[in-house]
Amino acid sequence: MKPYHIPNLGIGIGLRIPHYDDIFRDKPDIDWFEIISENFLVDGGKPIENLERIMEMYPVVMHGVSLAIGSPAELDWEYLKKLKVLAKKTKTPWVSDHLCWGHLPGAHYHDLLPLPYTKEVIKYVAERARIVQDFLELPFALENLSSYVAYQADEMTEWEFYASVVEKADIYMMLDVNNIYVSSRNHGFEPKEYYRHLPFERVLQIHLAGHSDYGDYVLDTHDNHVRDEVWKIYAEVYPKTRGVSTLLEWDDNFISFQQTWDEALKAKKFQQEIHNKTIKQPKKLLVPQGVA
Amino acid sequence: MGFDSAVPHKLKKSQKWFASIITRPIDEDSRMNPISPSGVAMEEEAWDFIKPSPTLRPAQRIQIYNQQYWWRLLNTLHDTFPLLTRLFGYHDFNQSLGIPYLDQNPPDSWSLNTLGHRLPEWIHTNYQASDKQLVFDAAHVDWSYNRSFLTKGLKPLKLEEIPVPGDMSSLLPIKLYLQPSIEFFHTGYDIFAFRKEFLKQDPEYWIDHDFPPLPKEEKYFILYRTQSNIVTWVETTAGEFHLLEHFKKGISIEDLCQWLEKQEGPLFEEASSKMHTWFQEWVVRQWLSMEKP
Repeated sequence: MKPYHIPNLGIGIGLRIPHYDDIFRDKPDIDWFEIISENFLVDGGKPIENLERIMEMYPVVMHGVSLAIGSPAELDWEYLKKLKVLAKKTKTPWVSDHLCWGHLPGAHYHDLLPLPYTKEVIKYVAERARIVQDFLELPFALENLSSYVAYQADEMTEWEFYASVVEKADIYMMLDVNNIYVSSRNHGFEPKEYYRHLPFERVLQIHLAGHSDYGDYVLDTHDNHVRDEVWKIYAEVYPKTRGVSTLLEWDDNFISFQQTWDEALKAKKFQQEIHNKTIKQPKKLLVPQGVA
Repeated sequence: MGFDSAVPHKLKKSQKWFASIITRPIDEDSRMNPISPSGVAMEEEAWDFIKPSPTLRPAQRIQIYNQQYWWRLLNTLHDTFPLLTRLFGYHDFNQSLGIPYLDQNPPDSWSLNTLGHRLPEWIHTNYQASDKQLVFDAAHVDWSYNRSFLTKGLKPLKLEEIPVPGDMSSLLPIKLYLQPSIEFFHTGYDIFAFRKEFLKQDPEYWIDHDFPPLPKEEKYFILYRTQSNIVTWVETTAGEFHLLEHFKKGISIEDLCQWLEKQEGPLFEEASSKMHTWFQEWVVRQWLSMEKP
């Protein structure tokens, strides 16, 4: 693996417009913020002004939604150049996007579309991901998707595909534990099966989020509290990573900033419980009567 | 940008098929077109590419992506065009403008910020109802807010930075440009006050309430971004409007004065008497720059 230093930034939340007033007024004690890169790949105006104010107070990490690494179109160098300029500006310790496709030449679908899990797709995507990481000169991570279809062409499981791409490209994993749950429901597999064989040394960040359960399928909506089933996966996955940055995404049906932060802080409780379990409990001291 | 020469043939084929399905308009009940572009029933064709899940058939599964595609893009248009959305209401906006526009102008950029950039022009060409002018103006104003909010700001002209500090005459031959965030509107009504009233309520509210009044009256407006990056507007006069427009392409004060001398009537009189005051206001508002856009 490339000798990048990957810091554990603690617990963060996704920076969203409804939170700005609270952040600028109260300067809350948040470990870090994740930004959607594309929201700040603009020429000027309020978004840049807001970002600069945030950067004065907090570490910022870039997470993109438009790279569409598995698309059949050539890599978009204009987009990548803008991404690199923003990375320098934000001093992000890594850049992430999704293991998906999303455009054809001249057409963009603005969605994270799943790829067929085949050997030739691994080769194709891994080569492009390696190029992106080399170009950005930063650790580059791909995130597992929530998906709603599986292809007839699939030759392997999603987790085998995901692990193979990041290992072949020598890049990192942004592991979304909510997406593991959502996909497990939509495709009918056990979440444990997913993370049993993942190369956890490549996980540099964990995403948490809420979803919407429609019975026949589950949608990754980021508009609700993290479900217990997802916290359960987090509790099992987090120790395997030996402690990586954790982030809560909340993108719709917004609750107050404090409530959002409280939701994210539940991760700290799980981390503490895990930590406590690993420390041997000291024996109780026997105190002679009359001394204490 | 073309296809990556290394893309596997089977991958490209399945992606082209996937794209052809998800970009086709959904119906009023958000259902996918039951017939594929090749003329086969979707229930049948989807099996060629998609596996069933324990609970959904292949066509039901890809329908989720078809819906997500349209809902996301339409929501983006609702956010970008708040006045236009309120004039129509969500349903009619989607059916009359949003879906046909997006069907003919699918997104061609990774940025959703540009999704509506052709909508005012599309309305001009394709929308034929009696309220066409208002609909076009609403789209134009909404889009201008979006553009002005995100566009680059030029280094503003500051009087202490002119070539010879304290000597205003040294500024006269220098070409000055308008900030790209500034837009001009010459309308037959007060579209900005109308928009302000409309935006006080959600789109659903206006379905069964009377619209705000819109008396006919010739108006001139300038939309601009303040120093704190807020997009706002001022009403202006024909004189200031026409004078300021010259800075779009860049002009020196010297050349502007020469142009003004050739004008006759009220425009000349107003501009001659107020130009000095206007110029000071433009500088204070940081509307001018020596930088070329």
